Amino acid sequence: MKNYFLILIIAISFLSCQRENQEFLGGSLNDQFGELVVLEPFKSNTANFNFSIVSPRFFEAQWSKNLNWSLSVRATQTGATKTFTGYSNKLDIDNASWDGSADDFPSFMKDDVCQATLTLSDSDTIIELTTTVNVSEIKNPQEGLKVVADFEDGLPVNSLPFVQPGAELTVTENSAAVGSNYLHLGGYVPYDYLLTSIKIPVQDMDIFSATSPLLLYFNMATIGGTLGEVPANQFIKIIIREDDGSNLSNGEKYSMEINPVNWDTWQLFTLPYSDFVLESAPVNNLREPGKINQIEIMCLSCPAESAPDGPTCPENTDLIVKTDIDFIAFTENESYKP
Amino acid sequence: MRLIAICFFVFTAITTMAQERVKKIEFYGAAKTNILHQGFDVYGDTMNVSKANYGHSLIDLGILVRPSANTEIATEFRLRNELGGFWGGAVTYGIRKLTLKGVVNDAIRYKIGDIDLEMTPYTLYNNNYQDVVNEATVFQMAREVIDYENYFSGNAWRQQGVQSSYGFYLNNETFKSIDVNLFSTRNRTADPSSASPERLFSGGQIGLNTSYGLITFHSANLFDLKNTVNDMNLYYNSVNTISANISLADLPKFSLNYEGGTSKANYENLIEEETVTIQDYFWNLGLIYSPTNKLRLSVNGINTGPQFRSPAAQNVRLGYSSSSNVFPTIGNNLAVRNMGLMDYLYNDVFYYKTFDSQLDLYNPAFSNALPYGLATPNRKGFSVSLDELAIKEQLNLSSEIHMMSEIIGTGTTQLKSFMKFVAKANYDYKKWSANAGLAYESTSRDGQAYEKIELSSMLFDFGIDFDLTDQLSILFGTKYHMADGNELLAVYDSYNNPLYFDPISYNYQKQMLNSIGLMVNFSERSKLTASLSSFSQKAEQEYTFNQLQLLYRLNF
Repeated sequence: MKNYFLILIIAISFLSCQRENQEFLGGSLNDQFGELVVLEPFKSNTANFNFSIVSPRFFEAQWSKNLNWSLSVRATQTGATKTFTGYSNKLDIDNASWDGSADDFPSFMKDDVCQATLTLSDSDTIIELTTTVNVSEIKNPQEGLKVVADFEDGLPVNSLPFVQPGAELTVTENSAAVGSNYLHLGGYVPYDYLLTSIKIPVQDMDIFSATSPLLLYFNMATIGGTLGEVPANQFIKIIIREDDGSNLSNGEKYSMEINPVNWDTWQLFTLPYSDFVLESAPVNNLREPGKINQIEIMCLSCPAESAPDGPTCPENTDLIVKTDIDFIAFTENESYKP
Repeated sequence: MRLIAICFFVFTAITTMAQERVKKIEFYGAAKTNILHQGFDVYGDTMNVSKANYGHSLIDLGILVRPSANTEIATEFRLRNELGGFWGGAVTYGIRKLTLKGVVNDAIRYKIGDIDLEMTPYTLYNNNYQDVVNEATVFQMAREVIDYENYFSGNAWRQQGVQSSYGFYLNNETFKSIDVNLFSTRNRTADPSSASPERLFSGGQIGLNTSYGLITFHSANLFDLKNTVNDMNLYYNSVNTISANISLADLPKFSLNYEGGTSKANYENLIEEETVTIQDYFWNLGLIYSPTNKLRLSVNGINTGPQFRSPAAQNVRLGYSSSSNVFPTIGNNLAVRNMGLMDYLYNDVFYYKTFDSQLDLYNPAFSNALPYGLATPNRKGFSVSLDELAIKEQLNLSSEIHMMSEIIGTGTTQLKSFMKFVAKANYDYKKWSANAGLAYESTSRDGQAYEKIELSSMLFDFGIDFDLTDQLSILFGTKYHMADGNELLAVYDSYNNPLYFDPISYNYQKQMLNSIGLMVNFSERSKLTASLSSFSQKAEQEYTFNQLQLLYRLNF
C-alpha cells in the first residue's frame, strides 16, 4: 500500500510541472536554409502620396522567409532619398510607413516622381523589386519649426554681409537643399582666415521663451566641395547672439564650429542650443532661447600665404573655398526632418 | 610488583608492535614508458611528412603520510622525460595530486584537496567515452593511459576542494539511517583581465535508508562569487533532484527506480541590470525485473526538458574540435586533418578535465541520441535494457534499446526521432576470452527538403585474447565506425539555446582500427605491451595510419 502511495507521489510530481509553450527552439531553419520566393508583389498602397493630410502611406510586399531587407525611395529630379531597413518577411504599414521626410537634405518636393527599390538578400539570392510613387503634396512643416532663412527671396531683410576681397557671398539658384535657392559662401583669400560672413536678424523668438536650451535645436543645411578642389580645412563658424545685454551689441554670444566642411552633398547640421559655447563676456551665463536676436555665419579657411594671427597653409594655394548653406531654422524637441 | 612490571612490558610491546603495523610514511607510485612509431600515408601527398617517432618515460612518485591514526596526506610528484625525436628532449615535473583526508570523532569523514566526485547522471557525472562500446584488451591498454592522465575514474570528476560525509542511525523500523555527503570545489579561478569571476561548485546528497529502499536528495550548484573581479556578468546554476530505489514488497522480483528534479540557470548582466532565467525539469522512471542474480531487465521512461541545464552532467569527454600535433595536416593543400579513432586513443587530442557552463561540441557521428548522456536536454521516450544475462559463468550479455524523440523542434516544428541500440557480449573459455560490442544509432526528421534529416551510425568493437602462458598473452582488437547521412548541428548561444544550425553530412564515412599485440605480465604490477596497429579512414579525407607501440607500466 505504501509502495503504491509512493508511486502516486512520483507520478504527481512529474506530471504537475508545466513548460513554456514555444513553437520551436533556435532560429528558423526556413529563414536559414529555405528558398527565397516573393509571395506578394512589391507596391505602394496608393500611387500618389499626399503628405499634407493624415492618411496611410506605406509600401507592401511579402516573401517566404525572414531576412534583412532595405527599401530605398529616390526622387528622380531632386535626388532626395528615404531609406527603410528591417528584418522580417513582409512590408506593411508597421515597418514601411512614410511620413514624407528624407534621410537628409535635399528634401522631397511637390510633384517629385520617386523610384522605390526593395532589396531582399539571403546567403544565396539577391532579389530587387521596384515600383514608382508620386509625391502629390510634401509634408507639412513640423511642429515647433521656426525658419530663420531659406534664401528663396534672396538675403533676409536687414542682413549684414561682410565680404573680403577675393571672397564670394551670393544667393544662388539650382540644386538647393530646400526649394530653389541657397547661399554660396566661399572664394580665395590667401591672407586671412575669414573670407566672408553674414549676420541675420532673428525675430519672434519669444515663442521659445519657455523652451529649455536642451530642447531647442539649431538646424542648417551645409555643403562643401569636391575633395582636392577645396581646402581640406575649410570650416564654418556659427555665432548666436542674445538680447540680454545693456544694448544690442553686448548681449551674450554662443558659438559652434562645423570643422571641417569636407562633404560634397547637402547634409543637415543640427545641434541643441545647449551645446553652443559661450564666446563673449557673460551677462547672466544662461542660454535663453527666447532672447536670441541674431545669427552670424562665418566662412573660414586657413590662408595659403599669410595670416594676421595663426599659421598659414601653403597647401591651400589656388584652392577655392566653398561652404554653402541653406535653410537655417530652429526646431523644438527634435532635430529638423528634411 | 613483578606481575605489574611484566604487564607493563607486555603492554608496551603490544603497543609498539601495533604502531609499527600502521606505517607513518609509505611510498607508492607508477612508472610508464610509452614509445610510438607512426607512419602516415595519403595518396599523392608530397607536402607532409610521413613518419613520426616519439615517446616518453615518466614516474609518478606517491607519498602517503599518516601523522595520526585518523589523518592521511597523499601527494604525488611526477617526473616526465620526453625521449627526444618528434617533440624534442625535455624534462617536466609537477605535482599530480595532493589530498588530505581523515576522520573526526570516528563519525565525520573529510577530504581536502584533489577529490573525485560523482552523483547521478543528471547532477554530477562524467559521461563515458563515445568511441567505446565493449573495447578489446589491446585498446584498453591505451584507454587506461588516457584515464590515468586525465584523472578519469569511472564516471567521477576530479575536482579540487573539500568533501565531507557522515551518517547516523535513526532507530526506526521504517527509516533506518541517513547518509550525508557534502562538497565544495573551485571550478574556475578569477581572471580580472576578462572579468571572469571566481566560480565554485558545491552540493551534496542526503540519503534516507528505508525499509523499502533508498531515497536520496541531490543538489549540484555551479555559481560565481561576486566581487572577486570587476563584475560584469554573474552566473548561477542549480540542479536539485530526488532519486528513489524502491523494492516492491508484493513483487519481490521487481523494483522501481526514479529520479526527477529541476534546474534553474541565472545569467545576470550587471551593466544592463537584467537577468535571464532558464529553468526546466526532468524525470526518469524505471521498472526493474531481476528474477535471479544472473538476469536483470529494466524498462525506463524519460522526459528531459529542453531548458534543463546541468553543467556537471551534460558533458562530452573528448574535445571533438581539438586536433593532434601528430600529422596535423593532410594533402598538398595542407588542409587540417580530421581526427579519427587512432587519434582519440593514442595521440594528443584534448580531453576535458573539468566542466563549465557551456554545452560542449559533440560529434553526431558518434552520438546523436544522447550526446550528453541521460541528461541530454530535449529528449523524451523510453528504453528497454537487458542489464545483465550470465550464461554458464562463461558468457555475459547485455543489451539496450532507446526510442526517443525531441520534446520541442529545433529550428522547425518537426521533431527529430532517435533510435539507439547497444549490445555487448563477453565470453571466457579456458585460455581464450573474447568481447564484442555494437552500438547503432539512427536519427530522422521529416519536413521540407532543408529540414529533413536522415543519419545512421554504427560503432563495432571486437577483441580476442589468448593466454599463451600465465605471463604471455596475444591480443587482437578491432574497431569499426561508420556514419552516413546528414544532420543540422546546433550552434549554441551563451544561454545554451540553439542560435543557428550548421549543416553536416557524412557520405558513408568509414574508419577502421585494427591492432594485434603481445602482452607480457612480468608480475601483478608490471606489464609490457607491444602492439602493431593499422588505421584507415574513408571519408572526405582518405588516409591510413600505421603504428608500432611499446608500452611498459609498473605500479609499486
